[in-house]
Amino acid sequence: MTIRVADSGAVQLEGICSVEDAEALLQILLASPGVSVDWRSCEWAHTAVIQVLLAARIVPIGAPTGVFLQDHLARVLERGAA
Amino acid sequence: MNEFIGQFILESREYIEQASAGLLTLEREPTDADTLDSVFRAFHTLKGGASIVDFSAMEGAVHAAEEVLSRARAGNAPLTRELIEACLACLDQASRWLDQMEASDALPADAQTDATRILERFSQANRDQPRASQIASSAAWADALLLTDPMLRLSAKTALRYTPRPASFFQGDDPLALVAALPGLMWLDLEPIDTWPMLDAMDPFESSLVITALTNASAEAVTEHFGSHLHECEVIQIGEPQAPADAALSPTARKLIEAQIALLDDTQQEAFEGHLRSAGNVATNVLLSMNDSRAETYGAVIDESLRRKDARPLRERLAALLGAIQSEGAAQSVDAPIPLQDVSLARTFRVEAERVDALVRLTGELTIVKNAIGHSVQVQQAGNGAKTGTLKDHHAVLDHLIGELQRAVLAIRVLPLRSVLQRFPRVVREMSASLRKPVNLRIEGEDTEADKAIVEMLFEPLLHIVRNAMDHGIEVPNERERSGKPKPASLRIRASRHGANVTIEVEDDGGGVDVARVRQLAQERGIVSAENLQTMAEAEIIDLIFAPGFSTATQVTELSGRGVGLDAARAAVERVGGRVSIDSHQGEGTTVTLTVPFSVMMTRVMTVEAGGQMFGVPLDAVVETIRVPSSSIVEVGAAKALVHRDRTIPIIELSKVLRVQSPTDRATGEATIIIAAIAGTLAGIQIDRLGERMEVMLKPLEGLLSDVPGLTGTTILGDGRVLLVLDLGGVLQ
Repeated sequence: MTIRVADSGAVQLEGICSVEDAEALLQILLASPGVSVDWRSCEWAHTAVIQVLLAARIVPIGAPTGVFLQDHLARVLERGAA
Repeated sequence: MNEFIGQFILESREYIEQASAGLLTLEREPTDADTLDSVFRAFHTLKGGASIVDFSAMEGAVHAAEEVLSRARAGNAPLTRELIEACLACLDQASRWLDQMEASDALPADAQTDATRILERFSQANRDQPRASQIASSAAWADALLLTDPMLRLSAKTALRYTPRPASFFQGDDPLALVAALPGLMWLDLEPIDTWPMLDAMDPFESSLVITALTNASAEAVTEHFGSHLHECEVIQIGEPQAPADAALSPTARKLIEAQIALLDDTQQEAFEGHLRSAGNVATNVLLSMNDSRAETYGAVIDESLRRKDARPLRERLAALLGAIQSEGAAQSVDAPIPLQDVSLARTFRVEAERVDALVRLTGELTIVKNAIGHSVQVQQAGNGAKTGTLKDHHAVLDHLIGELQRAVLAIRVLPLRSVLQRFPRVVREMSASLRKPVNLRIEGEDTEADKAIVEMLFEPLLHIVRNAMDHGIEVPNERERSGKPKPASLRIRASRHGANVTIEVEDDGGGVDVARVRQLAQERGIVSAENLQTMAEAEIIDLIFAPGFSTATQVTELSGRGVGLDAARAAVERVGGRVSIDSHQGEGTTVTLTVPFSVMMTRVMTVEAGGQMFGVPLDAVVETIRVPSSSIVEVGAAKALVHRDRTIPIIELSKVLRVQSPTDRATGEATIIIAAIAGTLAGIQIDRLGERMEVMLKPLEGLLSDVPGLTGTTILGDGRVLLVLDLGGVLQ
């Protein structure tokens, strides 16, 4: 499982998040509106996962480990949520 | 006229000419990359100019053409005939706008309507066109993308819009992984196809986004990368970024920047802030119009200047833009190598007509002084021969120097005939289409040069002659086939220099002038009496097609109008001291030859005396001068004639025609005759006495004299007398 809810209540994206994780992420976001998402340990997230983050207008916390996520998607998510 | 608008009009006309000529070449050779580049650049510069003068309608119309050319350059969409025609129509419209601007000194009022028509024409031509590949050269989304960051524009080569199919996640694709692996990825964005769904209605496994990206890889590399996903992508090849402005500032932009520097230099303390901001804004706009990213940086420079209450930071920036970094106290670098481009630019330059005219006037005055000295030499020689030596030497030197000065001045005004001749492919192409007569046009001798005034006046007469050839000379294809000629007719315009004259021949292989028909019409229309027609040679009858009010067309067509064309053409050519002659052979074709002086200003004249007055006769019309016994002139009815070299030549007495005093020296029993060739016909003009030959600056007729028929101009003689120079054609009428 690359998506889990931490003790703090934040959703943690870890390692490589696959297409299935999109479903899980969506369920968590539906259940806990306004929850924060932490992607500091995230190496890669499938397009479907990113699409859920965009639709939910969520800006994940911190800098992800994946270079592509950091260089390109962090900015897109920030802008999408604005 | 507003200086910038004037400059804009001047430059735009040149680019329109360049683009028109190129488009016509492309029509024949659609793959000629150099020509395509040149046409593209011309349109691009036109657009830039329109943007600087804030003429958005023209900017939009020209942009549409530029897009089409840009796609063709990228090899994505061939330049079809329809597209070329749309581009030409765009240039025509731009020309009309420029005419309006020149007339009214303002932007045309309803230009947007015309621009919309041009845009519709392009979109129609584009719709008719099959897409050659997935790669295009432009799209609104890509333009918007590039606007987000001007720095990207400088290095991005390809823009991509990738809309993964909805089922792509299901089918195991990860679109972002595909994009992340793109070679040279620089930038990307994700957007919903429509709007993001509400979370509770969202299917997380359905792709509903669009990925846009910029890379510095080539469009080919991008298409290859996407492979089987290519049908989900739009790939746009981004045009070359603009060259840095210091190499590419157009003259208009340069002038604008220079004006801002002047404004800053002249700034008083109270107006400081306003002037500074205004100068900065103009510079920013100029750069923006050229898509130059340096525009972005002006805000900071203005702020710095304001903070320091010192215009220098901005001024230096502007000066640097002009390539003339002249910070105060710093010596200008002298050993910087001259860029090659500058050297080639210097080969052509514009000179204000007024300045040249002033020089021309000056040399005219010098000529008068020279003639005056010549005159005093004669006076001296008649009286006291002692001092003539030095005066004569001085005169010789002055003569030599003025000759050189004159040649140099005239050379400034010399232009190749290309500027006129290159308009004909276009004209002929249109006539050919509207008359349904295919024509192969050959133009020769475009590099032949003549004075600007001559070159500029040639277009209309040539146009009339070409129209006449297309309309009446060249037969319809079926008729040509029946006479065993190739269906496409051949039309040749050939220019060449012959001594002080330039000749332009318009030769067609059409049906030739129908002499019998001309004879009949000339009589019917009362141009020549039946009696006179009997005695006229065939060549003279053919020449009647240049007579006022003559038209051999049984049908008045749109092109040739009402037959005013040819006589107007002849009149225009003769006004500048030229001649028009025609050589036609029935069934074989017609050649019309225009002979015009190389320059309007220098004319060789011979002075003659008639009825006690002196007149000038242009030497180029004079075939010979003879003295014959008065008795050899015979009376033929009311007229007189002379048999000379086995030809009967009509003789007129100049003094009678000009109604000056009657001849005085009949007692000698000899008559002095000038034999002149007027429109291919010889005529004798009887005068009292021959004078001397001289080269004069002919001044056009002004005031009261301007309407006098038979005069072509005036000049001032050495003794201060005004010499009226005759137009022999007019005299003989």
